[in-house]
Amino acid sequence: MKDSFFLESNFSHSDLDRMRGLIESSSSNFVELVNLAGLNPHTDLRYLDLAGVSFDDCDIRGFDFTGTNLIGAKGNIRTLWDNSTILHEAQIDDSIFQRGDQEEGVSSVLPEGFFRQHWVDLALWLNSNSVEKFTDEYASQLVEITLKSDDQYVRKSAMETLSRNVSIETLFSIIENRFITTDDKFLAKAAFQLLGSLYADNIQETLAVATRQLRGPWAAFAAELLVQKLPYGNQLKYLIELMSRHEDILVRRSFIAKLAERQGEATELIVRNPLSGDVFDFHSFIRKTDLENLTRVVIRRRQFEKEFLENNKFGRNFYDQVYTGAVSKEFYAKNTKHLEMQIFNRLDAFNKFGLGYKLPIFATAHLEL
Amino acid sequence: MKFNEKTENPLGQLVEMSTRTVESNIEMAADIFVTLCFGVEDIELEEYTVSIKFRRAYLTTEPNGGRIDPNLKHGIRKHPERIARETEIEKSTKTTVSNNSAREAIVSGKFSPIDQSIEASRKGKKETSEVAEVQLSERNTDFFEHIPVEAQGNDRWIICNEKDISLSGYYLNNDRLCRIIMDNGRPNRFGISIAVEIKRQDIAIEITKNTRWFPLVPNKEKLLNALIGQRLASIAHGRNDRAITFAKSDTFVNSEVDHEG
Repeated sequence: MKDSFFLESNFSHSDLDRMRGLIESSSSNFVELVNLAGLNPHTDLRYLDLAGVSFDDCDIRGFDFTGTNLIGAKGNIRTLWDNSTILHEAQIDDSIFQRGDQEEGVSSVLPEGFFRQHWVDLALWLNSNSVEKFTDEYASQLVEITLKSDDQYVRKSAMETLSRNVSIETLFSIIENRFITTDDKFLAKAAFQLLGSLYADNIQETLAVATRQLRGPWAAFAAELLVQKLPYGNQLKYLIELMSRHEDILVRRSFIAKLAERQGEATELIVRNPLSGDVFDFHSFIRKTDLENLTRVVIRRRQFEKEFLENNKFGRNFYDQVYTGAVSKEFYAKNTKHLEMQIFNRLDAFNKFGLGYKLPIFATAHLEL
Repeated sequence: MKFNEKTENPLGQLVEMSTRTVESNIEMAADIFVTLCFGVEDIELEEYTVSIKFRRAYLTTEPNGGRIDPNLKHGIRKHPERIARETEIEKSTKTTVSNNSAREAIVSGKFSPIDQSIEASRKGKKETSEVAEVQLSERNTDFFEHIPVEAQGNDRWIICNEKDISLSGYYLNNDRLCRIIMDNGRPNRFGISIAVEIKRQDIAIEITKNTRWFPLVPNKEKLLNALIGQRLASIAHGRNDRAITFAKSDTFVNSEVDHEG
């Protein structure tokens, strides 16, 4: 005997609830709806009819659209897709994927030659577009100019124009997913600067974006940003702990240099090995001879500062270096032994952040005297 | 030959198929008769009603111990050897005749009084013109024959309506789909498996009742479709990435001859 003559009996309560949830959802975001429907984006979106759907504000990296009809599928500047988005046998006519907005940018909108134009032309073009007319397409164009222009000035201008006109959420997304993913050091550095400028507006998101980059190719920039912005406390302590395990020595050194810079000129001066010029890495052995050499460096620096402040107050010296006298104020000892102790104390205090420096024991003995 | 038949229609509300195999009047052959119907089924969600429909379906066959007679298939579209095309043309002409030429023509007697007023209105060298116009048009009549269950290659049939209207009602009613001819050598098993397959892309849904008026944007509609398709696939007879098998029928006869002696 048949259970029921009606189809509903084949659907469980949870199926019916999911269907109702989908209909009543206030969101039309594709990814959110996929999650709401309980569909697996790696297996359940194959060979479907998804013609005309909108991927606005969606991260569809890793989604499998094998054999699916995606004709006319739309997206916007915040749509993220890349080679991990599987489009094997998919129909992509007149869709975001055919236009290649993500990989090729808006080359369909801006001719390739546009990016090689003289910056004056581009600057004029940038200025000709007033804020009132600012659209997603315009934002896309600015992103592409930032990524592709041959002229650094133009790229910077485009980035600034973009930062002034898009919402902060969009800006975070663009920085993280477009600018920082580049292999261009100049752009990455500028992107981190831009990210840093957003700190006041959204502390959590700025720190979150930077933290996510600590394992990426621009970990040094991310670490620098974090060390500048994080307040003293547990978060900074955890960051230092994390960075002490970073596999790249250059990133570690760059991080320590920025941390020392935050402590002031005096600390910045003494965290470098005077012979090699390299920053002392985490867990470095700082020998007695290193301390002696640092003492000599400090003495020389005090001399420079004295000369600069006495004779050249209003100008710059031969090396184009401006001295504020901070080192002399910090390391004021009259004799070498005492100066060495001050340097030791400074290093020891810096070491309290968790750098793991191994300082000479006999130097501690001087302290106790 | 006595055929054993086994039919599965796990979602009979949507697709129902039954088959009947009859020994043919020629030796070692059997005719396959099929009844096939599609339904549009509703899922009631209190405030909403979701209708499930299919745009098209495929009947796929797999003969066992024989082959399908290529000349005796249901729904063969045979294109004529020659196509005659009838064209009606209404000729037209649009002529501008200068008054001078007209007058000359009248004088020479070639052009009968095109208009006496031309001569009357003519003053000095001033020229006017007269235009005569007739339209040109061409009419063609093309005939298109729709075959709801149309035979295709690889022993399968496509079932669809005109203009993409969803499938509903009976498409075969005990109609002979094909004839299977037994292979030489009297195989141990002779028969055919027939399945109704529907591509996931051909499942269509429609909200026919929406008392709370939640707008069904394309994203919701398509994913609701995917969700329902996924559920139907889990209930149906079988599935693969592309298509879902909604009904299946196995018809076969085991040989009674003991070859072992």
